Amino acid sequence: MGAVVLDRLAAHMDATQREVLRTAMAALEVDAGHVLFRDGQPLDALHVVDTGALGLSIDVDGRDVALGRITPGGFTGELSLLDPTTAHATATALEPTRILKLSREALTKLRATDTVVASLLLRALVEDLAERVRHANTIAVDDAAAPKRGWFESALAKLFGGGA
Amino acid sequence: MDLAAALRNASAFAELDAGEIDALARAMTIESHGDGHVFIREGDARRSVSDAVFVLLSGVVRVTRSGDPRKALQRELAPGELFGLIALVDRGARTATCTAVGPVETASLNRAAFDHLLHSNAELACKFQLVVARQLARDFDRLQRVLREAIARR
Repeated sequence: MGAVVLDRLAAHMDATQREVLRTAMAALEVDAGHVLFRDGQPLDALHVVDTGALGLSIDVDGRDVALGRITPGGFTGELSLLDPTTAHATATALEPTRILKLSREALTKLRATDTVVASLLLRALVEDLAERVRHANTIAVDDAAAPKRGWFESALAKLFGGGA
Repeated sequence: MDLAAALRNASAFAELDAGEIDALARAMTIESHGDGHVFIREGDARRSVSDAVFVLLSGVVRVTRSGDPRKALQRELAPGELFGLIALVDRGARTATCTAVGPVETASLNRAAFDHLLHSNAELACKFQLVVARQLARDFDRLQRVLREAIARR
């Protein structure tokens, strides 16, 4: 695996623990244009971009609106790792892309087989989510108070994209 | 109210066994407050022993933010939800104001106890992290959906 790719999720892990996490993940290679999941469909795995790039977009009255671009090290689908949920955007490979998926089932297994690695993963996820929720709050507030299109879009890209 | 019994009934803690619930209950303080009590004030950056995360046991807590004229971000918490997590995790300022609407019962966990639960490597730490991650992931998901609506309005 690319050691850098899991830096955010494996921030608190040593090399051996990273390998345990990597083993719990499923690799998936897709061509440009491949749709990994569609807006509104059930989602059951965290998707980490290993190589390539994913674009997130939504349909607004027939228009395809880009939300952000996920580059290596970035991920999406946090909630689906913890709760049954649906995607709130369509994820499309923008180039040949390699994805590492950690499914909800794999996390449950990991918690049973290696509590320490699961715990370190969740700790990193908690820290990452806290940062992104804090950021999301400022975007939404600023949108309501003073809509400025350019700023809003770049803030959104950071939020939804969240590359390394 | 029996705190351990209340925590057992909260869906957030469904995966904790009886011993873990008791350990959590021992680390928490149960509190009753009247209408209008402010648990957390947005922008507050105090670092003190009163700095805590809360579990809503009964009643309604309203979460509000300044600069939110459309109240797109305002919401009312349901019993069993945790609030006050972000500042405890990243040690930054409080991101929202949390106010009691009518009589409210909460259990609070101070920073030292929270850090201890989150950062030890035991089974309980893993389960507690799952509880915290799930609450934050749900909050993040909700915010992403609010942002989607903002995009659709443009």
